Amino acid sequence: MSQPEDQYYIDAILKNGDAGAFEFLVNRYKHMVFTLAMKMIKNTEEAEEIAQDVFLKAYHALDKFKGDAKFSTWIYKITYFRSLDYIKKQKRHLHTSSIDDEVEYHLPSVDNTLARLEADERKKTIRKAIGNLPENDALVITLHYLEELSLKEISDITNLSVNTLKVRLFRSRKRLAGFLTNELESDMLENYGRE
Amino acid sequence: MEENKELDDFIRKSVKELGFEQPPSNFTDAVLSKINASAQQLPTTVYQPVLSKKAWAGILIMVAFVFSYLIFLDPELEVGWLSRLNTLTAFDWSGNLPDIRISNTFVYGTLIGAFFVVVQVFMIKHFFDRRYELS
Repeated sequence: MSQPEDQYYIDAILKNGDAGAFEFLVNRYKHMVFTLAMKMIKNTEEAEEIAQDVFLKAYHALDKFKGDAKFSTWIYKITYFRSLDYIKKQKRHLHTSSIDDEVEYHLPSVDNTLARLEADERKKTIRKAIGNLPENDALVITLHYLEELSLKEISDITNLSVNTLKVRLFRSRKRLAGFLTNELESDMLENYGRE
Repeated sequence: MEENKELDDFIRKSVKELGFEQPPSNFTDAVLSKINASAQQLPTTVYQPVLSKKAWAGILIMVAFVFSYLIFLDPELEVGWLSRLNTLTAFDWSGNLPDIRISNTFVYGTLIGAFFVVVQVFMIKHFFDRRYELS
């Protein structure tokens, strides 16, 4: 079921052509849509363009939105497929690193080292590590941990099976921990040289 | 299992701390102005068929009329070519075709070659699909 508030605004747009009501929906979902596009596209300008396109497309296709799913699921789905389209059109893999699943990391020490960093520095490190993830992994991690969607809901968005997502999430977690270790180590080396 | 739980918590904490990416401050305005712009353009993209349904009906009636007049009503018109049609089927082609002999080996070779070309079409498509597939 769609949240009642969303449905109220959707009805206002469909019945009265009230474009102003759409402003509410844009403001409510722009952060997540932009975040998802950013995680997949990994470029601010292009992600902004895509996020705008997503809302434009959603506006024109609003009459096709059926209230049986959440509006958020629907708009994340548009974001996911629009970003995929873009990536396919570019015909290139975004500069993600490949890393073995069996990457070495020692969780308590990664956690400790991160905790000792300044907040800004810590965010920068985490952002860089997520940026290294392949687009789909970054999307799954973001939807699951930031938006706190269940695997079933992510499955509705991506059309991937719950089992596939489970495997992907498991792998992405390990990868992310590995990337964080790498980032922290390279930062430490840089700082060591400076001091 | 325990390690998984810790990793899960750690990733959750990290991702939460990073939070949402901030879209630019004029994002909503940009979306709304795009919507307005597209709404204004909309009438120009409504396509009109070159021939309307009425025109098509008129053309059909005219064609039907001309043919029915010529075939059924015009006494002067001899539909002689109808009776001559059988000369085509009765024509003996065999004497007029060049005599080409193709060996069985050549025929089999061509057929197998053609078969592999067809198989390759699918293999190449599959290859490119995989190549552009997202991880």
